Amino acid sequence: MSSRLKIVGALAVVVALVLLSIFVVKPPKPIIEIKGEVLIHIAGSGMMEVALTNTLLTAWLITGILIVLTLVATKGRSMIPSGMYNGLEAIVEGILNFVTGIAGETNGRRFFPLIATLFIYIAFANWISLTPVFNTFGMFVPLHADEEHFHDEALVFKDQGISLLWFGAKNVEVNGDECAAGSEGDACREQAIETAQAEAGKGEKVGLLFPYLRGINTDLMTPLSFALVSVFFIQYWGVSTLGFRKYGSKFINFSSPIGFFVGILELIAEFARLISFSFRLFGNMLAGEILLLVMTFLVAVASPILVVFYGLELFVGAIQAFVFGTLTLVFAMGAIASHDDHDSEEHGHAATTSH
Amino acid sequence: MNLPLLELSDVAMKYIGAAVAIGLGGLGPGLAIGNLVGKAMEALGRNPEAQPVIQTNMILGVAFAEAIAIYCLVVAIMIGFVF
Repeated sequence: MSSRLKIVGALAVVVALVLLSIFVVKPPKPIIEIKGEVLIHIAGSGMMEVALTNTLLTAWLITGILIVLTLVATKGRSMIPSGMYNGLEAIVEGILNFVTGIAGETNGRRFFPLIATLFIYIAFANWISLTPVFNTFGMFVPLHADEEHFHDEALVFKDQGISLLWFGAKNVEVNGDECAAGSEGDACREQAIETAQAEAGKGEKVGLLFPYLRGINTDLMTPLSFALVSVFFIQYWGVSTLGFRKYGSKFINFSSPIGFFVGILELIAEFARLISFSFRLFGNMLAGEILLLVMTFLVAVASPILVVFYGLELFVGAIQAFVFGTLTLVFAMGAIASHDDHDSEEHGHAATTSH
Repeated sequence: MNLPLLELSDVAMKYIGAAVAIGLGGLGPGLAIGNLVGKAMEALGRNPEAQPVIQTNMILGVAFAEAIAIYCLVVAIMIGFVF
């Protein structure tokens, strides 16, 4: 009976908090930014900009957390594993069994470090980005007039020196396209910002919130770098197993016209892999984040339902990490298989079915 | 002939483009995933011992099919938020 009372009480508290946040605090709607927000500008501009973005900061943080976690867990290493060390060993052993089950003992142990790193890192990054510290606190940046940094929607916030979304922050629309005085471009946008600033009142500024922590895979650059590493290692394994000539003959083949076209197709497929790897992960994680936001603001009264979508996002985060690792493994298997060597192909086939 | 109802503004065209992109883009992968999972279930019914292999390959296939929908979603998001 008392446990039921606790559950009902917890639910009541959650509903009360949600109603309070919707009708009393009234948070501003989040503004969706595709690129990683620049926290510290270092050099250059446009495409060649060198800067510390929030996704890069988060990526470093996650790397640090994983390293510290591993060091702490492996400190009390013994033959009879226990505690955190036991858990980590179970994860690593599970991945090792999976990889050797598909690729065979020798190749599996060769591929294992990269596959396990990709899987653990991506899964951990996806899961940790669901914690409430992500996307919620950051620094306020006043709106700039130049086209690159301009935004139609902005927040009005109190200039108080504390980088938190404070009570009273609200959305405002800044229309930088239509101007009365016939001015264009930067001048027009400048004018629009000034108008919004004048409406905002004293001590308030028009700007954007750049969160310090943001899910790393919601910025295309992170999945793209994972994909580059993955595709590089696939080529490396192919070359080191078959030799440069034999591996190259998969792509550039003058033995027959059909062989030539098949080779060209393989070459294009190799580059398409880069795109599909990066966009699959990026699209899934960005869509997940937008889904959570939309659900929060769409059915705000019923936002305890959000728990369901959090569960879905946990599932998607793990599945995408799994898919990334497994596809790398499958492509690596394809890269080390030679066309005219039937022995090794049959061997690989047997290894797959025996799993 | 100039139908006033069909004169759409740029913004309206933009949103229609985004909706069509994700709407049509979800159609193919939906059919593909349904087909894939259906066949996997059939295979499971015939040979329940092969469950781990079938499940792994099914998830891989679903990920491939789903990726196409994700490309369309990225295009739709780009139309909606970036351009």
